[in-house]
Amino acid sequence: MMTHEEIHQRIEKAAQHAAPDQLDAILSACKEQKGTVISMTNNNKKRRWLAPVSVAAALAIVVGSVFGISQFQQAKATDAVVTLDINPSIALAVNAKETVTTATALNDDAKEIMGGMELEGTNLETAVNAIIGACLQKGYLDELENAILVSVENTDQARATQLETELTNTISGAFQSGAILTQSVNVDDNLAQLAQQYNISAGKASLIQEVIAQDSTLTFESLAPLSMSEISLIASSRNLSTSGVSQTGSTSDQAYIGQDAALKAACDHAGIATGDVQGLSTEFGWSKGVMVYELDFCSGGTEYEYDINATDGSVVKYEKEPCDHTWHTSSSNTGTSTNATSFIGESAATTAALSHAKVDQSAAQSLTVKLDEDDGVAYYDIEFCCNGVEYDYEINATTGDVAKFEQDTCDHYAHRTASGNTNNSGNSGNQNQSSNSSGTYIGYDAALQKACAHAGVDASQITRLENELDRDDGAVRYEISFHYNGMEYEYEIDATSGTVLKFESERDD
Amino acid sequence: MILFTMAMPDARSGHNSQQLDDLILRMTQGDQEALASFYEATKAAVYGFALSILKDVDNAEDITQDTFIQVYRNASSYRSQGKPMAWVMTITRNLANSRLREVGRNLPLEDSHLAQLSHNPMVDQEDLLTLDSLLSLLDDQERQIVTLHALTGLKHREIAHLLSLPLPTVLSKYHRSIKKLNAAWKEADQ
Repeated sequence: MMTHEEIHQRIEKAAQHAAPDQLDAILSACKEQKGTVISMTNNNKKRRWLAPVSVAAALAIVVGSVFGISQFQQAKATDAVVTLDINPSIALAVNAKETVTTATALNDDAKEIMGGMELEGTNLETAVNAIIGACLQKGYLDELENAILVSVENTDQARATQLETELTNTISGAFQSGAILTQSVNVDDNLAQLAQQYNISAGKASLIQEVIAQDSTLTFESLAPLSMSEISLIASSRNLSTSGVSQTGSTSDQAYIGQDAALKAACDHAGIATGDVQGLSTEFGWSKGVMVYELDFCSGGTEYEYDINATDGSVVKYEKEPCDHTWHTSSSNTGTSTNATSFIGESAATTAALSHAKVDQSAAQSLTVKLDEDDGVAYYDIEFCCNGVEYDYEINATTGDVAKFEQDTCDHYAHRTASGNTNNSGNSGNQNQSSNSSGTYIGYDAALQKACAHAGVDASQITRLENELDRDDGAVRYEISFHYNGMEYEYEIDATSGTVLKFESERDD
Repeated sequence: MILFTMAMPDARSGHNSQQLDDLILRMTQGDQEALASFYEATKAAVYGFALSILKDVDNAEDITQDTFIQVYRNASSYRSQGKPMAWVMTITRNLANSRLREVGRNLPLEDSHLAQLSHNPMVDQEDLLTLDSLLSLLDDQERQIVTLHALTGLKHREIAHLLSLPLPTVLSKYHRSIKKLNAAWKEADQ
């Protein structure tokens, strides 16, 4: 049996040997300087702070607009960065007097809007008014397409909130039927990268990340190009929460045909009556470049999935398959699918998971059920949240037994809690270094004792122990895993208090 | 001594974050020697991670090169949180994922996908077996998790964040992968 360490070393040796030597090519590419500055004015005076910054730093601003903004924020003159996403995405760096120091078009729509505008040196309110006016004039905003995302990047939360309020007032004054979403964001490297890659603001990237974390059928790349109205409708139709985002006014869905018309279009296509539809769910989605109603329903033992063009009611995509929801097939079981009949069904599996968790079905949020296979055994993988706790179950699809379960803090929004912790020694690998650990932590041994006591196992009998001190998101915890008596245990122990933050056990196969 | 740790980063404890931070800072001043040192210290991790996503030697080489160019050009946007490897891997991941989109989700995984490496005198039979096992025995997520853990010293939690996966998924896939590799290599070594 190789140890983890030996396996790591073997992989590392292979990668070291296989990695190409491209240093010369990289160095020569880095000598070339490319990129375009999108700046609303050529007034060099206003960008005087650039002067002491090195060529490479200036280059970074040139190459990556969002990275550039982060750089602006570090500049002495910049108090906050405000971004607007409608479909044009625009970033405004402002100083403490709320004068715009830099205005940046983040995408092509924004370039169109901002062409010819002189925003730098103007007051923030004036600049925002001008932008909203241009969006109305050019048709990016109207009564049917009315959502605007305002994100404020400022380390001072009170100041950020104040700016959010001022901007909401400014925008609702300029566009009374608008739906104004405001948030303050902390931009980390990951967010800045994503924003840059998709030509959107870091604020929009953050919002999309939060939305897709709650719905695995949505992807970042599908949502990034959509307007804020479209994203807002998709998220709200799926009950996806956007914590930290305040909304004034509601997003209009008047541009679309409505759920009833969409259902009628699907039923007409399927040749069934709308009255025979069971278990209907309707959500907004994006399919083949258009907004669609995604309908999922059963009728006569068949499950139908339709994507109906939300604007004209045409069928964009459809699928049908035998319905394996036991509550739909009970009356007319076709019996053709031996697979489906040998499984207990999603409904029974969900009930098993909920009753094990002692959670009422009505209290379960974001419930997802997926039939999965692991080592030849079929499972229903069931996830849901309730009261801030995320539950993850594997229910044996044949017997209905709970094969595995796990609880965790519901942290769909965890990436927003900025890590103020810069103290990553990066070298707190294993238990042999317990002498290195700070006196304020309970220590590797004590953490292990807590985990063993919680698991009810004898610490001297465990095998394959791993014990890591992990600092992340400002919290410090011991991550412990070990094997005992045919089971694998994983624990997270708060490094200060010794509290069991999380645990998981599964059969060691 | 410093050079030694740079060239042979300890996989378990990770790269020396402080030294990498210093190199990135020097890059913001246009220091190409810093880029060269950074490249030597991290190229295996960047290449290994790119290969784990792309499963193709040529594309992984391209993305490795592009990653270092981006690191240099964006050095001044790096805000040190003591996590330079997480930053670099984020760049690699984004570039590799865009490449995947360009070439279509699935690059053809041919039997000869590693053949060209066999002409590289640095690469021995064990290396080929190691890379082949990673590519053929593990699924995409498993391979990325094990590779990141082995080559970067990132914590499971950081890997979970980087790959947008739940921590328990990362832990269980990691352990499952180790089991698979152990079984395969034990057999081959006998």
